[in-house]
Amino acid sequence: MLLAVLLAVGTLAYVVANLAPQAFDAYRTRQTQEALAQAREALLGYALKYRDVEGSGVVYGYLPLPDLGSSRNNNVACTDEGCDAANFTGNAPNVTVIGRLPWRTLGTGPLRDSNGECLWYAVSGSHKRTQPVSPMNWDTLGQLDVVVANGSNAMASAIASAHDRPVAVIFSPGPPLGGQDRRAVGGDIVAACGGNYDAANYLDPGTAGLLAGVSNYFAGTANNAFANTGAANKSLSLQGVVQRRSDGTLWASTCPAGTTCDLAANDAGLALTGDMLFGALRKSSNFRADINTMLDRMTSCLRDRVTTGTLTPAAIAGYAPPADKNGGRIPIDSCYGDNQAPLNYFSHYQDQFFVATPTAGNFNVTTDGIAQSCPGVLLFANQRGSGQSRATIAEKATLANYLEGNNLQSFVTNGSIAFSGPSRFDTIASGQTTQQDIVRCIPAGTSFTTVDSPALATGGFSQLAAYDPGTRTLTLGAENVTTGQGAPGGALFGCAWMQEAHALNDGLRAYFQFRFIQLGTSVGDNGFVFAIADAETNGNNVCGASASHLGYSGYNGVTPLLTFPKLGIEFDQGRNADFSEGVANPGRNDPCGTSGCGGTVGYNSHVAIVYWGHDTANAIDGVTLTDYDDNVHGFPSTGSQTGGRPAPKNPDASPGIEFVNLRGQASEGGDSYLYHVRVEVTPSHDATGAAELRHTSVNSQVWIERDSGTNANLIAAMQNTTRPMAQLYPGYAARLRDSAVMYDVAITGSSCTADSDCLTSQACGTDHRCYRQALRTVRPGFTGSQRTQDQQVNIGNFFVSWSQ
Amino acid sequence: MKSGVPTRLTFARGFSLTELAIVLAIVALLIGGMLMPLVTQQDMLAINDTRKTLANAQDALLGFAAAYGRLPCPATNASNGTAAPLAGGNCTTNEGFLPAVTLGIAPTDNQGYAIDGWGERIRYAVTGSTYNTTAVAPLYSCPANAAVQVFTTTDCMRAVTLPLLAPNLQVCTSGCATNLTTQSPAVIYSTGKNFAIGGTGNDERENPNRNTGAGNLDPTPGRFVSHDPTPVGAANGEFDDIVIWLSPNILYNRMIAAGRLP
Repeated sequence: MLLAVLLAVGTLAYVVANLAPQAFDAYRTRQTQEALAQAREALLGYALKYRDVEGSGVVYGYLPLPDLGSSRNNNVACTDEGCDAANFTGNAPNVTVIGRLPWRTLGTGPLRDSNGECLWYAVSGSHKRTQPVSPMNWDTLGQLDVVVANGSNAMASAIASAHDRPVAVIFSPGPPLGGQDRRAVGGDIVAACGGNYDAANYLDPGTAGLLAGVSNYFAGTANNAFANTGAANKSLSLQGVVQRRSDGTLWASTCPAGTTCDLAANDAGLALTGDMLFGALRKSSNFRADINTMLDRMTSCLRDRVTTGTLTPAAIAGYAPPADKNGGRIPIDSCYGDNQAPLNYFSHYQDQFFVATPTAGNFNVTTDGIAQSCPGVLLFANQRGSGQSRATIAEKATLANYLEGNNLQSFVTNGSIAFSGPSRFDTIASGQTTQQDIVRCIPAGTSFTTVDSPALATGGFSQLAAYDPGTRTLTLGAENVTTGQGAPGGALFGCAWMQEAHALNDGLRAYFQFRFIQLGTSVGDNGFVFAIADAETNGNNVCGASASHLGYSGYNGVTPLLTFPKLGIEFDQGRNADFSEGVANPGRNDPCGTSGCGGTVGYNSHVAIVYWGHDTANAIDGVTLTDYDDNVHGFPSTGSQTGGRPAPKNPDASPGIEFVNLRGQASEGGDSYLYHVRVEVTPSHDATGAAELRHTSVNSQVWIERDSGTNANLIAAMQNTTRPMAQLYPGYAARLRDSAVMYDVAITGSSCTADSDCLTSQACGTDHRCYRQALRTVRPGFTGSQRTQDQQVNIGNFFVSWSQ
Repeated sequence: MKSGVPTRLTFARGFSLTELAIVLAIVALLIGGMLMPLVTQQDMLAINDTRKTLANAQDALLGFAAAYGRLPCPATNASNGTAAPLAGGNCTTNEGFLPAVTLGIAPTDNQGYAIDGWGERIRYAVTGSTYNTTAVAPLYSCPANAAVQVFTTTDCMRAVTLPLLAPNLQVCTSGCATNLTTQSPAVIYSTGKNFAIGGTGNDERENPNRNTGAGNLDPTPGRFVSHDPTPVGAANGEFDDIVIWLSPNILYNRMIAAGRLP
């Protein structure tokens, strides 16, 4: 019995003694790997919100510095253990920094390896957020090199291409090796992780020189923590245990059988590469919105340049455009430079953009499957595909490293004029390849097309809408064009529209600035409207009537009407009291601001959101001409909003209408103040119920800010159309706000018994008519008018971002 | 001859009482020696099991957020392991149990609550950080409301957008001497081996447990304590809770990758 017991105990002891190490090793390795993976994921999260948290002065792609110890971090916003360092003595561009993982900044808590040691972190001098290096994009090279032991006397690089070099590495330092002193030395808070901040006490080799000249720290600097790696990359050993045999050869993990080795290193590391970083970023719709906004803005600027013959592509060394076209990189232009939204992107990404124009005729540009004939093309190279490298100057001058397929071929081949690709930068998940060229047609014509008043031309007067593609300024109104000077009163209108209609999707964010100019003694008596017209009912040739109609309402007898559904932001110089349909000077129910009518603000000029008044004649409001009350405040009045599908009411009270002083100011030399305007329109369609009762809730917000140095931050936010204001500047309430219900529009003359009788995206109503969504596609533009006084308003820097 | 049986033979047939006693003593010592580590081993096993369950729970929460655009609400005493309310929104309670049924986590007890290595229910707290969404919503599925719990209402994180998200769960060290985080979206913890009788020390009281209630209130809701185990009589009481928390950065990374955040 005794023997049996002893035998059993012995066997058990044997099994335990022999099995445990492997099982335990595997468990420990997994524990370490999990901690490293969590740290890397948290770093990606940091990078993903970097621009949104730090403000639009920075672009995505930068990473935090390590925690260099509470005594050296210099981070006033975060002073404890685990905070990332701010700038520190010795920091400079291209200085790579090694320290502890900034776990507090990352929110992970003190992540530990299986040895109970807190993690360390190295960030490449190319990708750290302080002392940043430009340009920062997906081609920016890391300055870290991964080296491995392979049985030779030297550590060999494990990096296949320059673009694979890590931009950051997270280390598990493992148990201490000889020479590593992990006692606390004071000076830094180490309540959570303990020990000290000398990298050489944690990262290997413990004894200098054991790793063939490689070390995971920077010998010789304070805490062995940093050095400039701009000229020579920093080699790091991440593979865990490295053994050094007596003959100096280095072996990964285990020593060859029958020989003896010293443990040279035991750091396990996890690398973060630029491709991983930007792979994650490409999933961020904010990042994509920035890139797409850049494309939108460039397209809009370039069409004006191409139309005026002033586009000269930037030369690429070694590339001679084929005889039939001019081509090169996008030239520098303040129209889409670093000072435009998305702020500070251009200089980081300008390498990725290419433009070409034909010397004669047009290109065949197919975007999103739609073929167009275009006087120019803009290409965005996107990320690198397989075989593409953009590491050296020579590689950056090689078009094949940027463009693919027929885009590349057309760029370099005489006679090839076909370009194709999607128009928007999108995710890989959406089906877009990593390297997909994004293609924009640079359309013919200027950004705005103006609607002329023929009677003015006949009478020898200037038109009241003019667009200058050189300065990209739209001017509404003109001098010496009044009824007093013999101009026909009904002809004093002028409109300008963006050439192409655009799907409204999730809405739009527009920005422009304007100023009324003093002509003689007049800054005008009428005003203008920023209009968003339904593009299914309105072409780019519509305009309303003169005088108080502001070109927005009424019929001018010549051009097509600006018909509903529509939405406008009215900038009205004066007051037309009450409502009357009298042709000469019909009332608009404008509010009273001057003492003469009992007001208190001192001026009558006002800004208001307007829709389209009545759909049908209405006795309560005294409306017989339904197109003439589109900018009458308060119409349709509550009592006249009859039927199941009332038109939205033009607001007649704050916050839908507000007094804003648009009149001349002595301080401005008689001109009005310069105003910045931002408009956000957010529709949401309710497609439930009977087709005739389906409707779109259109939420409009308008910010208006007088130009001054004291509100520069507000103005900067207004100009940033890449994000909603609620995100950019929470708490900055819109000056004007309104929410309107726009019922789906009945198709004139349609007849149906089922949805299938109607066109795609229409529905059949119970009244057997087809209905479509209001404002599904829109065309923004400006309308203006004058009458007895000269008026000139200059509108500049107009830009629209479309939500997707 | 009857008495002719040799005494020597009788002696050789068995052990003497003394010998038996010595053997028994040795065996007892051996078993005793193995038993003590066995108890420790069992504790270790329970701790490791618990850690694994907590890590699984964290993964499940991240997966849930990627799939639903929000974090689940905690389960309550009465919800049988289901998030309360199941559809999200403002939670019935922000500090309750891990909603194992909603997350599909095993092992659970009979009522559907995930359990730790000691068979006690795993606790879960989610940030009740609110936002007035009237300025941004309705957007996606996020309703317009003056005080929406952003992290637990579908699509509200997306509507409110990254820079304005303010998760606010706090995790600190013993006696709350140092904050480990003040901006965690979710905390998951086990009340440890002493679940039945513990939870009354200064530190464990911060982590609501089965003994939380009248006379033993959670001093600061939204605050949790995490540190290495301390014995009875330690400055802030016995502590053996196992606490992990979600990094907002990891949550955001997963949700952006899934298109649930901009």
